[in-house]
Amino acid sequence: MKKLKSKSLKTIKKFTLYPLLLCVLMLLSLLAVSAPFIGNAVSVAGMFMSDKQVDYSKAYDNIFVPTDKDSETVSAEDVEFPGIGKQFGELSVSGTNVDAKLFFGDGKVPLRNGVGIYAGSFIPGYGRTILVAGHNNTFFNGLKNVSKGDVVKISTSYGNYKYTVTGTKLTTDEDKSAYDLNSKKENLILYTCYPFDSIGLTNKRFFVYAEKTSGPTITGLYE
Amino acid sequence: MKKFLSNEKVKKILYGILAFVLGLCITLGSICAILRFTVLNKGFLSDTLNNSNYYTDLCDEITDDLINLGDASGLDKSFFEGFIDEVFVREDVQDYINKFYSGEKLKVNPRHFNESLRAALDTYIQSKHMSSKDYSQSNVNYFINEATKIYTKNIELKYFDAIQNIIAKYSLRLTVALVVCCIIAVAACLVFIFTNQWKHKSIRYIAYSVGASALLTLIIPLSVYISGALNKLTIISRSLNDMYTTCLNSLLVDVMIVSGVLFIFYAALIILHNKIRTKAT
Repeated sequence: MKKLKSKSLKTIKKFTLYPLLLCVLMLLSLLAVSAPFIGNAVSVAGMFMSDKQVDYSKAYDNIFVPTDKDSETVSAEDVEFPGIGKQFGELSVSGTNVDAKLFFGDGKVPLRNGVGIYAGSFIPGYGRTILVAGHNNTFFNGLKNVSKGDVVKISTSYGNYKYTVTGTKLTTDEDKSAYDLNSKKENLILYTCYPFDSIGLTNKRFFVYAEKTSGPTITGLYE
Repeated sequence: MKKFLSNEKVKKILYGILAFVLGLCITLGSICAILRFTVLNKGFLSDTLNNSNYYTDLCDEITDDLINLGDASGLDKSFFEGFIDEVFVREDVQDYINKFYSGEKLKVNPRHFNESLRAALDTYIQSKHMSSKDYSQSNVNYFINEATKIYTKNIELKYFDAIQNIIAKYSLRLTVALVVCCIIAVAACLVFIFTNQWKHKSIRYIAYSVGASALLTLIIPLSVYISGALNKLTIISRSLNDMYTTCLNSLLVDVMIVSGVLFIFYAALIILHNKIRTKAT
């Protein structure tokens, strides 16, 4: 009986250890053979992998809290810089019915829900160019009624800004001279597709230019 | 030489090497067979798409993009709601898949979409009582072209052009590898059977190889699942992300099934080994 038991144990041992050993050897040899390709495969796979899962929802974050602050400057430390696709303010234009949520970034979600600052430009208070896009059939439809001297109001959590419209321009989407993203002076540019209230699409764009008249400057940006 | 071969130790080493080769052949052959009947099989991709939310998600994404375009083209959101017909989307995607497997140039034929859009626009213009003075035909054509580009871009299965090249390059090699693995495996089994006086010994070596292959084929899907790599997949479109995740998931499940079959075979070989050994003693 004892002999039979030890024989069974030996069999179990054999049928566990040997396949395991073979498996390890096979795995090592396969790894050795495929070693030259593994690096490339991992690099390619890395292009499609991320630790952060993609958010496919059409919802957006809102960090805008209205404020009454009326100071001339605001420290960069007190400004919550918006991430792409986040609502961080509101924009309205006097003399028109433009009154929209303001987003950072001009992707699908921002333009579906309001108007968006091109992520390659700047936010208000930076002292640079603010380039805002909106659709001509929705939130920027009212730009068709804009005229020189109208006031563009932008409210953010860190301050309220006013810009005065200085002019408009009709040009094409390829005209790079329509905006200067390197300008050292704070200026606001609103743009949308053209024509308004007509079916169809063109490569024409309608630009509205405005200069800053009031609002806090963000300090401590480059320190 | 005869003495050398009859030496038990040498024999064991040679059988060990043969068991190693047999195990490799079973593993590689199984992987080749899985790839042959999944990735290289048109039915696998079509079934995966049909069983996932791919088409529903795709229709939503196309509609979303078109509404965005409509916002810049004087068209209300309602114009595109329910406009995309899932039946046509399915047909166009299936046509794309057919071209993918037949090695044809991957190109979407948006004829259905184009015709439907033109018809819907005519109806819309009539319903709004617009005359030709109210809009420019060239602007409408420009819009239709842009909408068609959006539709085509969404129907195209991203990275499939690159995969098509790989498949064209390796399809035949995979089949050859499968056949070679099968031949070597059969040959190794025959060597075990006909060079062993004791049949249970030959069964034992074959069982070692099958067991090792079962373990190795289990390691591949397990390591992918444990690393959570599938959840880290990041493709910008929800439908494509779903499609790739579902395809990879099915592939890994198939590998696990093969591993399970090998484990059952392994267990059967152990039972057979014990039976033959008991009879012999």
